[in-house]
Amino acid sequence: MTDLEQKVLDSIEQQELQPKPAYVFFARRSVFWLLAILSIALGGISFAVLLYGFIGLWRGGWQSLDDVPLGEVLFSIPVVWLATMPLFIASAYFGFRHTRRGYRLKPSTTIAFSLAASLLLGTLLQWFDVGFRTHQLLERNVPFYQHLAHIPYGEWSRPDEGFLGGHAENMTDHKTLTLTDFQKKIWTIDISGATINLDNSIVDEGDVAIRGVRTGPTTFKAETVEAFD
Amino acid sequence: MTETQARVQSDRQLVEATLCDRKAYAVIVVRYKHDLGRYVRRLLGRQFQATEDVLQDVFIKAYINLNDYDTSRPFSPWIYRIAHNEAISFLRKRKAEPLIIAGQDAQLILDRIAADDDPATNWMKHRTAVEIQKALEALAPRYSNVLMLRFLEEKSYDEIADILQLPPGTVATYINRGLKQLRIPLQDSWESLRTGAIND
Repeated sequence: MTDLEQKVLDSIEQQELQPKPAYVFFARRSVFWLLAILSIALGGISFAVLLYGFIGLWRGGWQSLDDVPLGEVLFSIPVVWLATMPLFIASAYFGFRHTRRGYRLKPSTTIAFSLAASLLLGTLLQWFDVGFRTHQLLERNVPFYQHLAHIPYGEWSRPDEGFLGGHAENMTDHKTLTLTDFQKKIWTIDISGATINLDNSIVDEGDVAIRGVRTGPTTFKAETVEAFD
Repeated sequence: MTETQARVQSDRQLVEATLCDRKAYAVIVVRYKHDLGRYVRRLLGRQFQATEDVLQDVFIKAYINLNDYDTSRPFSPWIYRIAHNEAISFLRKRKAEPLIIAGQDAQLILDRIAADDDPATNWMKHRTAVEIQKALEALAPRYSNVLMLRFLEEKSYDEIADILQLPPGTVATYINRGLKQLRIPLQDSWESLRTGAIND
């Protein structure tokens, strides 16, 4: 045995060195995988809330994007989610880059994959109303969230709390209104005791905002009926 | 395990054997000490006296991190990467300038580039080692590192990708750009020499 290998072995013995256990490396790699997966999931949720905002905007009466004033769009979509999405994509890239073979992928490929995965997941999540639920949850529990992400359709999609908005379809008699809410659910509204603050008839008004009490799975008793702004 | 048995084993088998008995590690050290020593010496440049100390640290670090080696991949790029990182870290601590290409290494690079080069532009063959040495030292480290691994260590693009932790496509780009940048100052001096000769 020559000098160097002897020195290396002696040094290992003197310092009582041992190879680090495999689980240490596994745990480190898992952290990066977890970061990448979590970032994609959060990116997906961001996109789901964005979709929810856009869908609401669309259902709110604007059938063509040309008709939508830019200021209104920016005010009505949760801009905060638009800003956080690139952060989640960057964080997913960082996670993938630090996995065992992640460095072999081109940055553009990793970013494109993360973005595509987030968009796909977001679309899927929005299918199950996750965007709406997330928005509602944050709105209720995070005080400054409302200032960052204002979705008027979200505010009027809380029938359990007495806020119901949607498109007035027809009046079955003078005191019963059929309404399609922003999630396309059909409601029967009792407006017999309600104060109606509208310039036109309810059906001519189109979108209305109703305050009142939920009385069943698809029934609601209105206290006030106003135009939806 | 006898010494002869150990010497015919693959790197992967030796790594597995080392995890059971550290004495097997001596065979890995013997197998890689010359190649890694040469590589580390080249990276250290003027600090070449520290080669053995850095090399010892490389083997100790590799031993500690042996379980991080992906047995589905070749062992050589993995240990080269450790050597690269250790040498760069050593130079950073000393605030020393990396990569001073020795005259004989420059000649070697020159010969190998010329051998690889397009025959239409094989004017590289007419350059001197001193010219290539100066041109290499003027290159950005990302280019000189890949050129050194490609033309001095004779590593494949795939191995360079593993050593420097870059996408293989980026390695190819750096090699092309490095060669292109290497040609510019050389071509300039060649052109000025040629113009000078015509004027004379």
